[in-house]
Amino acid sequence: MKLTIRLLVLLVASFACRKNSGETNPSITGEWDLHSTYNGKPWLFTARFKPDGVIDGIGNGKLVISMKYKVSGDTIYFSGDPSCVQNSVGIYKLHFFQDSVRFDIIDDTCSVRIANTDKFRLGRVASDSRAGESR
Amino acid sequence: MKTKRLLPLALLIFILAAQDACQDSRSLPADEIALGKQLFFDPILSSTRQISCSSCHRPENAFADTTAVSLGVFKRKGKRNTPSVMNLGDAAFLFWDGRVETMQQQALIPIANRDEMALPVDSAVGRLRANAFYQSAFVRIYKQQPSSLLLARALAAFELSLETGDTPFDDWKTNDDSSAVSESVKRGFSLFNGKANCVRCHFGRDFANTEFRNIGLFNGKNLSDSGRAAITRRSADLGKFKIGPLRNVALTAPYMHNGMFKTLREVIDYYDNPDKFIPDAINRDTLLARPIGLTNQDKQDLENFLRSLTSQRLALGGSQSNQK
Repeated sequence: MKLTIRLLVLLVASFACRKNSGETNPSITGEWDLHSTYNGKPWLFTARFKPDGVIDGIGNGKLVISMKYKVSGDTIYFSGDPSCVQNSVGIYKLHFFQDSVRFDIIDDTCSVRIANTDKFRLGRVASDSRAGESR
Repeated sequence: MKTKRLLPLALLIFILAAQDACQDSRSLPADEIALGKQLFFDPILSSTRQISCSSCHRPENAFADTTAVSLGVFKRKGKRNTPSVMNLGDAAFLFWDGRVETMQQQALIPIANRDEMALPVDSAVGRLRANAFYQSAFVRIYKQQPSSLLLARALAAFELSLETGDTPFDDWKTNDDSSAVSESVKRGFSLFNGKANCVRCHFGRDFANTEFRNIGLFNGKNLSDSGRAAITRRSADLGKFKIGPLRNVALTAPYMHNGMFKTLREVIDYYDNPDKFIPDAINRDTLLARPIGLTNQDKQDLENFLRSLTSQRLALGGSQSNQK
């Protein structure tokens, strides 16, 4: 009996560890961000994926880009990027990790979008951190 | 006897010197932005000592002017519409023709331009060095006497501080408050990104662009400003001008490089059907090849969206947002 319990605990623990270190499959909806530098100055980029299929990209407190997205399984379709030819759609595979997401190109002909999206990794913004933001 | 006569004189000199020193210490700028602000509003930088940068870049108009072209010293007319100096932190080029690439390069050109402030930069620096206040201010901030480089640095620092991000649009998009703007503004933003196609040229944090475009305001006759071509010496650039930021655009009428449109509605009407206004344009961008076909409601929505880009502090009359 003791052995069974020990085995069960081990099984649960190993399952939990695997879940935390590997990819998971949450929703893209919500806020994701990236802290970096641009021209030697701090640059905070926040991507807000809205439930209505709109993404607002905000750089240091100002909207940088607003475009559309659609998710199908592990694939995301981007459209409406002003840097790309009209009606151009970029298709990327979504890789979800514990607190981040990465976009890997599947098919896209828009070089600007590829440069800004392929291998791009964003961190999940904790929902309680937004609640504390001041307007 | 001599001492008795000299004493009041010495006392007077001492009082005057002390007053001067006290006055300077009270108002000496704390940093280069504050120094740049002081210089921006000071007519010491014009040959007649009558106009300053702020005479044409008026704070209440988002640091633009209200006339098609501004008047410089001796009421000399400028050649192009005075652009706003706000929200230029991301600008890759300055001036309508993009002749310089940094705010520091830009800052000294109007001082020396004979139609604007008409004061050689060396003379401007000489005036600042001869001025006790500015001498102290430059030494305090830069540990150096005034120079053309430091004058440019201070003015550029002030201009770069003129960022606005406190608009109803920002409340909607950045702060995620959908009640911050009307449904008309939201429709206008959709039109801006869609049917009206404005976003092809006006995008990014300040709805600007690093490119130059010919929007059809060059026909070689009554509209004869060749724009970017005079800088690059390329015929393909004939009639092209810098795409400026749209933030606070509701405060910066009249519009375009020559100030030919008096209202936002006129601008929208023009883009809707350029041929109706200028049928003989040379080298007009293919993006404007066909009429857009905006309805009256569309036009009103677009105008309302553009008005939503107005800084709330500027709208309330607080002109110097984000200034220290």
